[in-house]
Amino acid sequence: MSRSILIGLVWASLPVLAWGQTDNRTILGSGNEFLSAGSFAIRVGQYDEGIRLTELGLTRYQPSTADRAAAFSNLCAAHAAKGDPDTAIPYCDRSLDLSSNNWRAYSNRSYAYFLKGMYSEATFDLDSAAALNPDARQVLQLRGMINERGLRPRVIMEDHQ
Amino acid sequence: MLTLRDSLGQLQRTADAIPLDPVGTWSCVLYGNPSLGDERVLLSFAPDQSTRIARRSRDGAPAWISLSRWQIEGGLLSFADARSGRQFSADLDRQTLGGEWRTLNLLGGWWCSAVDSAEGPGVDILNDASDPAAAGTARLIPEVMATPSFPIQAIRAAKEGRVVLCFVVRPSGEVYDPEFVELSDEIFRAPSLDALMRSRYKSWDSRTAGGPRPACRSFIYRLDYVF
Repeated sequence: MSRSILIGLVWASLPVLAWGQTDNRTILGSGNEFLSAGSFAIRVGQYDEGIRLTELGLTRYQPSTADRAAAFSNLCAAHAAKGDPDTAIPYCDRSLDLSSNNWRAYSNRSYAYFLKGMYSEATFDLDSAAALNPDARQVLQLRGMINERGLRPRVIMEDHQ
Repeated sequence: MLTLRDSLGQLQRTADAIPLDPVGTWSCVLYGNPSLGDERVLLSFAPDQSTRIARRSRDGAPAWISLSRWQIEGGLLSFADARSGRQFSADLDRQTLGGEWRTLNLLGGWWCSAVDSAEGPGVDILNDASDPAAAGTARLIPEVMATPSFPIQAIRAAKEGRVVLCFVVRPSGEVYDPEFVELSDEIFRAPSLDALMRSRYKSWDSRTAGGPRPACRSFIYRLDYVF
């Protein structure tokens, strides 16, 4: 279930900019192909490869602010998918510092908090994601997961006779 | 708001167009009044449209009180109790008599089982009984109260709810003829009915303590945050 959530949270995080480009100039920010490749690798479950490619794209080139925010969100998702929420959360923090209206970053961080059992924090971030995109399947799915862990059911019975 | 069996009965009833005949004497439970709690009464509907209610008084003597005349309109029985200000209504398409009562600011329910009485509006039943159990007004004693399971989908959706099921209890203690009188969400139908049908009451001797008795059970589904 976690992977299906993260696939949705990684998809289209990055704009496809470099595909089909024929210009041979060296272009600042042309590392987007690494970021795109990293995004793809994470989506198909190759988390380590995806992390490596994304970090290459971030460190060797100078992607735009939007691409950097998306890349950090993807790194957050990948580390969370690997079961390492403590590494994931700072990446989501950095993504949201760059772009505070990225619902996927909020959702990724919510999932990371969920893995840590920090349901209050997870709910807070999920509410932020839902405010930006209330109909996102991943938001609804994660809401159900948090509720399942964070709500205690009880049934009160009363006879009338 | 019917069980499958009751739904089939409803379809059959619709097809045959035979509503319930209220004339007669009924052993009933009234519920939902916050100050009075649950009340066990006898209701009598006479052919001349007069309505009477009987409660056991403290000294054990029966006390029949006249209510408003009963009337039927559009398959709905209605009558009123001027003393309590309650307006009663019942859908006669059900398999037994029961429905809701209202005042200006209260809402409750009532559920009945038929009482065999060949003479008049139940006077013999109350007059003959010095023991409350003999009049069928003794409380039912639960022997098994099964707890319904909270549906996992409801937990995921953070959905709370309330269900009221009314039914009849046989002298053997078995529950039968369940009917939903309140169902806040369909997701709670199956677990509530399953729990009720797994429940039973302590049996009694019908020769001394009367026949089947009506009762209702509320299931209130609640979720509490653990964080």
